[in-house]
Amino acid sequence: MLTLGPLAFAAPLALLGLLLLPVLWRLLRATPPPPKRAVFPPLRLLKDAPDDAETPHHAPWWLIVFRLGLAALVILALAQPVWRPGAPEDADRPLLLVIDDGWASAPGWREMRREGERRLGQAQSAGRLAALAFTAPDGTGGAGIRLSSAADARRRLDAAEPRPWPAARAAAAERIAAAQAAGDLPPGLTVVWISDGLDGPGTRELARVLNGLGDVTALTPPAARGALALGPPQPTAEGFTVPVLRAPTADTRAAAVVALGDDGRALARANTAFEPRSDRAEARLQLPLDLRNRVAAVRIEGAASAGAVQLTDDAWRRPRVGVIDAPGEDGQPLLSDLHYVQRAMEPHAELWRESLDTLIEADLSALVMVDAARVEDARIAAFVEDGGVLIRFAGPRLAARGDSLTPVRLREGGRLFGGALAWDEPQRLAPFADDSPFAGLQPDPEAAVRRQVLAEPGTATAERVWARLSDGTPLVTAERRGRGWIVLFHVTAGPDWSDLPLTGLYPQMLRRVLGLARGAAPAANGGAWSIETALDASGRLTDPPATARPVPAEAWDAARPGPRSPAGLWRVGAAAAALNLIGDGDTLTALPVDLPGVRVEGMDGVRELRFAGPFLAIALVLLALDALVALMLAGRLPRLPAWRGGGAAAALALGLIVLPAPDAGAQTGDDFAMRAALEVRFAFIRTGDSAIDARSAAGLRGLSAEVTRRSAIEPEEAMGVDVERDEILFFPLIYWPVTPDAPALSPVAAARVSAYLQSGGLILFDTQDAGAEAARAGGAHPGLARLLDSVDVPPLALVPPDHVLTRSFYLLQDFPGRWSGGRVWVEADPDGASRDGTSGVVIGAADWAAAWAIDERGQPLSPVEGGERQREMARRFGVNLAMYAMTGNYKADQVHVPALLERLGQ
Amino acid sequence: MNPRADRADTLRRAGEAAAAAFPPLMAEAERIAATVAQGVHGRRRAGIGETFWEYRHHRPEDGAAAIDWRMSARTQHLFVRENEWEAANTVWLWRDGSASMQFSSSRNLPTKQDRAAVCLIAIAALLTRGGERVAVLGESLAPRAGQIGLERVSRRLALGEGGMLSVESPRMARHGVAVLASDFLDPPETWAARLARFAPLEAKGVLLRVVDPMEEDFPYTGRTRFEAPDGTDALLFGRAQEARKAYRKRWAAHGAALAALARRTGWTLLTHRTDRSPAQTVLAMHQALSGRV
Repeated sequence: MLTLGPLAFAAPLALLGLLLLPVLWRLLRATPPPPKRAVFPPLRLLKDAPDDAETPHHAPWWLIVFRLGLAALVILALAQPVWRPGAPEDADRPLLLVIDDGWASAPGWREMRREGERRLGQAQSAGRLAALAFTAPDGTGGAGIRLSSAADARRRLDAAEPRPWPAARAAAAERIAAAQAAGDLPPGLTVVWISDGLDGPGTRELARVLNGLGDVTALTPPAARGALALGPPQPTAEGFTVPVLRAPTADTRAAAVVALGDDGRALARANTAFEPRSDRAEARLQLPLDLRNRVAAVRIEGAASAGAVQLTDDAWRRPRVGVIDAPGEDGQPLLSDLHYVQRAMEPHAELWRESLDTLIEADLSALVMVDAARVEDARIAAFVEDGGVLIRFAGPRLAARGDSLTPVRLREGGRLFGGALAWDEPQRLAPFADDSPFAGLQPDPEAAVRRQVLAEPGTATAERVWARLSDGTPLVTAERRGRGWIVLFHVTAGPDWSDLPLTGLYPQMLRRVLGLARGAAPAANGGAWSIETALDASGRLTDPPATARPVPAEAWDAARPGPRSPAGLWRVGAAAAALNLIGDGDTLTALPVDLPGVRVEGMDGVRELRFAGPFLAIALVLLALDALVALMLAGRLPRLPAWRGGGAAAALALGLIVLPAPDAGAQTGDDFAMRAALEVRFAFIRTGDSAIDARSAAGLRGLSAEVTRRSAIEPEEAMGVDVERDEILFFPLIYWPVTPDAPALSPVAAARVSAYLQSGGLILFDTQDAGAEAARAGGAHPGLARLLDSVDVPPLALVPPDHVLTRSFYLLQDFPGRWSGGRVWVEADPDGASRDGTSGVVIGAADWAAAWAIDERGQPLSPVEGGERQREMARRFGVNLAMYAMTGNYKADQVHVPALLERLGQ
Repeated sequence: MNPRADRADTLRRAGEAAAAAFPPLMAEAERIAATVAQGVHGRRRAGIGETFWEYRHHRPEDGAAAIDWRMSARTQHLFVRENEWEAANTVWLWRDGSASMQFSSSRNLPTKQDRAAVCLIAIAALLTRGGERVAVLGESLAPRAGQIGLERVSRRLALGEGGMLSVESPRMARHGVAVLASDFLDPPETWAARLARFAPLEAKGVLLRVVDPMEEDFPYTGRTRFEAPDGTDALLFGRAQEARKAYRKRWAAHGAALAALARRTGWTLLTHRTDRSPAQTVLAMHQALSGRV
């Protein structure tokens, strides 16, 4: 190895290649660039024209220099240069030793302490003074940071242990700065910072402060032994996954995760491995629900640090909750009370939605009864006595007649605010009382209550009322019965009576209620969390440290692990919650190497910089540039007129910056949903054939215009949707042109269409081929057959003469489009479905879109078979259809009005 | 729509646009002055010509030689075959389709062939508007008048082969008028031989010489390899600018030789650069033809 100061060459013989450069110089000079080519028809006239012709032409000097530089770079890279700055030894300055003692230091603590002792030992033998600073103190004061004898510092280092909370470098920087300001730390120190190798808040401040004191050397543990951490586990269908985190390095690394039960036995174990340069690996543990609920902690095997442990708490043990099914609640999800309860509880509970008979048999911890499912049953009373929690919601039925399964006696009739006939404004929620289980939740100012059931005065004692409206009337009441609870929400579970189910508060309140599901009494000591078991730095459960303090319930959500609130298991009453070091979205990053004024070294030596890779990369870029230059000289880059040597660099820079093209056309997620849902819009299905799609768009534009002109429906511009990708639930009417080669739907799209029909949507399938229908001789339309095969479509029939479609706005008997006389099919017997007797599909072949289609100026776009009169009829059908989509069977009722009036004796 | 038809349409539109500015080209041919009064050259009558016009009954003054025996054999009567009187006011157009015509020096310029087609379509549009008949030399079966004639001629001019054979053995009616569009890069002697073939037909007309600006200006510099458009030949110049003076001299001499040839043989030579508007050239062609047709 050849060494030139801090620069060394691992393969110095390759440098002999530099001797070849003069030869290369001669060669390059002698090789002219290839000529420009030009096609020239009057070539004959050029023959024997005078020319200095074939005398070789020198390559331009800058090109020769450029290529020589390129060659030199490759030769240097092959010599494998290494930059290793020597550590300046400063033997007579006092030593400041800064040690990270947060949780991340725990795995490598022994090495860190040994290194610290070595440094202090050197100082001791040289008779230098030393100071010691930790970055994660427990806040009890202790010795300040000041210079003392190295032996003294060494004794303190011997006694130090890593802490089970993160290093607070910003605070450490302040303390060191304070010590400096107080004169305890003179400038001109040798500063050695034994770090845990992780970046964190305050790292730069600390580096800056240390740099003000003297030369700083930061020591990091070897990357392969850096700290691992465990993120919060996420439940899945078969068990749960848990992310393992590290500061990204170039190596792969394997890790094993083990789930432990209450008694410390391992319940499951999973292996995972980090990809190179990734900071995250998922471990997938498979556990049935019963076993999953028994998991008390998840830890990384063999990683002795508090960050490698995740304790589980009540939120983890998912209670089994039965939801009593109610008749007639399965059609329209957004109108169903059960839907809101289920969506609110799903994250925190295992839900069973069954009939009461089935649920009573199951071993449940809570039952949910909405108003529609209301039943007074002795078995429910027994379930509550036996320790179950009954969560009830009010509604019109409960308002009409109370029963015994309520925490308070209810007044009949309930209370209505803010309606047309009421004086009151809708009421907001009052802040939750401190002794309520909801203490600490923030009432949502948006949530207004419009109706509620009222408790009889006197029965609603303060301890039974968990939440009140701002005028003091109870909103949630609860009563202990036997070993169980009855909790009553005085509003409906859906948004009929209040906005509460639409707010984020609702799931939080239900989650608190579910916390009772193990028979716990609500907190008695003013709602403060106190620690039960703490994690020590190496991840073992121990007694809480003396610094721990109770955390008020309202501050709990903001609590982070620290000396006063160490990681561990906390309790308020019977509710348990875990405070873990790593939360959702936390990542680990390595200590930056570019800290101001800090030389970063590995724990076992100077970190070397190797240049071979970067040199070769630069050479590769230059080679590409050279190819461009060669092309330019050969005149093969004619597109850029002002193409000169200076422009080469600019073009290369352009070539290197590859701008990601934004996918402007994609209508994704919420934007699409907002656009589709906030206004009434018709939609058409994109077929992928741009002509058909354009005609569909024009057709719906025409229909929207006609409907707006003639009726009270005022739709916005129609949208094209891709049924394979977009949600179609938002549209009252979907026009679906079906081509003969239409493919079958994917299962996802088929489910989407079925759900759309099920929730009351209307699809107009148009095969647009009434003119050619006869040619199929009664055979099925191939595209339509494929399409409907995948969707659950009930039996169809021709439109009967008394169908609502014939009279929903205009009186019509045939439904022409561009073609007339085609047959139109609707559901044969729509009464069975949940859609209130309206057909979800209308199928025809008349090419209605063509008849409706208008351009931007309102002019019809396509000819219609029967002229303007038929176009008018087609528009009337469109209006009828829109009316049918919006009002369902309303007009069917109206049809009977004369008969009803007659029967009433008018 | 296929690209060939597209191209024909594009060129056709450009040609019509170039022609739009001119009045319909009415013929001033002395030989047909008598018939002009009856409409569009009044040629719709029997006369001396090559195209079939009608069969009529044999009259005693016709003589036996006039009987069309083939027709007469089918019926009981004797018939005489009459041809349509073909006045020689047909304009024959020809557009060179050789490899050198495919050349354009810049993406912003049309090829010489396309520009020649545009000019010819323009003049054809003017001629048909004036009632003349047009045909493509060597490619049209018969001259046609009117919109149909323009339609067919445009298509052939845009897409046709334009073979040199059509010029070397011209098949056209006597006393016809021809417009030959080419770059005339072949030696003047060759062209003299070709034009000599038109002399027996007593056909005259216009030579439209289409020139790319690069061919005239020769702006090339530096080390350049010049290649023939058909790829058969190439010349390498170390410093192209040194050949510029000699080339321009030869180019001028070539032009002068062509002009002399045209003068000698009675044709009109018009030169058109593809970077100029075709309208000037069409105007010149219009004037030249007005004196001939």
